[in-house]
Amino acid sequence: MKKWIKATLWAFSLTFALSGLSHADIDFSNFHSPSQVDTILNELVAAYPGLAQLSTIGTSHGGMPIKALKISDNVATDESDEGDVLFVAMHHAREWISVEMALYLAEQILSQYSTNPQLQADVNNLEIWIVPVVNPDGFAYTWSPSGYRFWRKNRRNNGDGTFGVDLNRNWGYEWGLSSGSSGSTSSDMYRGPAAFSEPEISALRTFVNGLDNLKTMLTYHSFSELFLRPWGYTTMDASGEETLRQLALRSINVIQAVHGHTYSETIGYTASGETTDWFWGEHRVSAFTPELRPASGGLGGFDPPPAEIVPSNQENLPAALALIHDAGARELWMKDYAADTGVEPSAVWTGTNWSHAFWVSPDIWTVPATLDQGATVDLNIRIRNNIGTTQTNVRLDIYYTDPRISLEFPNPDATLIASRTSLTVPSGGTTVTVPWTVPVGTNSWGERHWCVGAIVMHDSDLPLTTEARRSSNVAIRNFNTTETVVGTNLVVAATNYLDVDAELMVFVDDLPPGWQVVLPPRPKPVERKKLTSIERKGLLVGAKGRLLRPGDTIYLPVRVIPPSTAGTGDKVDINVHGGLLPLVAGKRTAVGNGFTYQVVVP
Amino acid sequence: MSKHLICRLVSMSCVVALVLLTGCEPKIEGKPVNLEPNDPRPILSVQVADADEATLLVQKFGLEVVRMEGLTVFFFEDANQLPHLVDLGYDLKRQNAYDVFRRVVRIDRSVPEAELVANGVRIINREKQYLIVDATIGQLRALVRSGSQIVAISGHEPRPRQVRIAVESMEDVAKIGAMEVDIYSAKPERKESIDSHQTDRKVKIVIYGGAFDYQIDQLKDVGYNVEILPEPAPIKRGGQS
Ligand SMILES: [Zn+2]
Repeated sequence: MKKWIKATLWAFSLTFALSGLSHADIDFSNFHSPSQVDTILNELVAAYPGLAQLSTIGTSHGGMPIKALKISDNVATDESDEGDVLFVAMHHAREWISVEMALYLAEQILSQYSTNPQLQADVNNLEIWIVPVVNPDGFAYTWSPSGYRFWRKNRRNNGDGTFGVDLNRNWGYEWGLSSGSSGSTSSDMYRGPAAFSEPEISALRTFVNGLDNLKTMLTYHSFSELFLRPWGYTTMDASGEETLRQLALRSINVIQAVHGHTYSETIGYTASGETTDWFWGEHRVSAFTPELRPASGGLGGFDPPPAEIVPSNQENLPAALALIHDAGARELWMKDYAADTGVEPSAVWTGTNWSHAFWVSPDIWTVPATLDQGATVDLNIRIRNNIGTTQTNVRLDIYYTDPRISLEFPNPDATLIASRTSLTVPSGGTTVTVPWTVPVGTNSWGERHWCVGAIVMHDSDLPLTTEARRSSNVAIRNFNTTETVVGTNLVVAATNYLDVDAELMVFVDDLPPGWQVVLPPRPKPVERKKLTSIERKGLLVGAKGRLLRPGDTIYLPVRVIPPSTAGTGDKVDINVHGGLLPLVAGKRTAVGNGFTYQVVVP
Repeated sequence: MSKHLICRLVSMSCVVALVLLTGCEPKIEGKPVNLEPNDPRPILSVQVADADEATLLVQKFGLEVVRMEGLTVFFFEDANQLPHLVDLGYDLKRQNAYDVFRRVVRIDRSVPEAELVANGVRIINREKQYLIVDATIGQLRALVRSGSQIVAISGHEPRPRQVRIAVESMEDVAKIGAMEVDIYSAKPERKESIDSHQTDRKVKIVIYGGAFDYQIDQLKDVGYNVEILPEPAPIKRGGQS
């Protein structure tokens, strides 16, 4: 266990776990049938009318409603500035214990709201969504006398004599690979005839795409006591692995602290078309699969003794509440730009550019300010403290890399400058200073231009994504080591760190009157007969930008033209905005960044 | 036990055993299977690079996908969509509905398994009286024409056998997962080393999961020791429906 997590872990998890034990409005001594689940949901809404609301987000193959319980202050109002957190259970029909966890989580949040000030503040800052049964047809089938207790899939009529699609193989990210999904309708891992073919998954996708500001999600399954993170489809690490890993380890630790059960990090085999891959791969929303009790066993593990329900619920509660707290509280943070108040996101993609330059954190600076190649400077990171008390065991990771568009921290190409653990951040905040030897020579495309990224972590406040604008725990700052002279070409670089084809949009703004920037023209579309797959996809989504395959890097020369009135020594800041949009159906979330050049007239 | 003995005999193409089997077995009972296409509309196919491209075609033109198999998308022909697809340079192929629609059925054991497999029929499970197979309606019609008896599974879907497989490493777990075995749990189990001179303990991983007979064959073929377990008894839940 990491030291910096361990130290405050016990108190943290205990607070949540024990406060939960005193409330027992729902009887968890046995599994609840579908009709009992409905009754409980209605009772929760009736008991907490100001906090809980039930809605239907879609309909199953069999015409059954898929229900979502919303928990928030002003629950009847869509407060678009608030973050969203999503919990889903029962992708797999036989995994009854997952529904119990969803009900328990709902009950605990609602019943603790009035007595737990921290949770109350989190709920007030968030809209929490709980979908306890995403597979109502399958759930009903496992309870039906003519059904089958160990049914896993939904109840689609496959038209060939068989029924059912594995809903946790029907999500569109890397769907259809033979890694851990099946094209055979008889298989319990049948992925369906096409990605998102199932109304249950399509409904959930539409619901998620309609959320204003989703921060994290958990999808409960059983069994074997695991806490899984992306990727599911491959054994390779996801981009941003360290961020996901820290969240998973913290979760495993707080689970372990309740009843001593140590959940594992990995499952050992792959699963394509799985839920969490879609959330992370297409939206960079941290997403995890807790596999609940029991720890091991055969088919009977899906039907554990009912006495396992309560301890399973209890040990998983603190992990869920900790994620809610990450999403709902801003404890330690850094500014993305001078006027940043810490609100997430600090900038939004307007369709053509970012609403603010967020790669200009005033909380990252060097002394001296001018960077000479090879010189060792003091690199300063200001950590702000929003909670009013000293925070200990804080970790700060600092990286540098080429200032590429699509940049995230951490990312696979960034170089670690320093990692500081066991930091103390007093209520007024603190500045951490580390030595940084400015790179000699140029970055990968020949300029002396670098981007520094800082990530602040505490076990009660972890970043939920790798994008600076969406996490106040992540900040970035662009540095030039030399000024750029008008007349030379600037270079805009972008790497596609997504695992899917994507479109790169590049824009330049914030120019003073008379200044012009010329971007190279887009390549002309080729003859229709010779279109490649990525070009076809570009046409299908109406892409206007350049098309990049996974891992592709592009360098675009940009020319700056000063007005005729400009004189020697005149300077201008050029903000280059970039967004990388995946070439996928449905909502396309821009992952992106920008950088700032200071250009001087010779 | 006897089932697996029979299976082995059949898969070894033992002519004597086969004659005995087919000669002594009664014909199977069940409802007839509809071997006509599920939908009368013509079917086309295109090649795509990945599932995202197929999903975009659905979003953009409303393609009604029958099935995606590998990188081939099968869909119902719609005159309004064709010009758009041609404009994007897709090479449209007309498909025979009898090669597209499939059935999972019970088939009597008159045809050797090897012959079925050679003709593209997927054998899911072996039962005493019949095989459960997954095949196109075209393949099944040909089998009926040559005398095979085919009946519907009528809600009795093939269920995977319950298996326990002890393996050496997590790589084995990955390999077995890639064989589409439904793994319920894969956890290390400490075992004393057989070699008494060694004091260290050897970690074995025990996999519990569900596998059809064809998967069990594959597992055994690559050397795994597969133990078949009884399915847990149905659980009665009093008064909670
Ligand atoms: Zn599951």
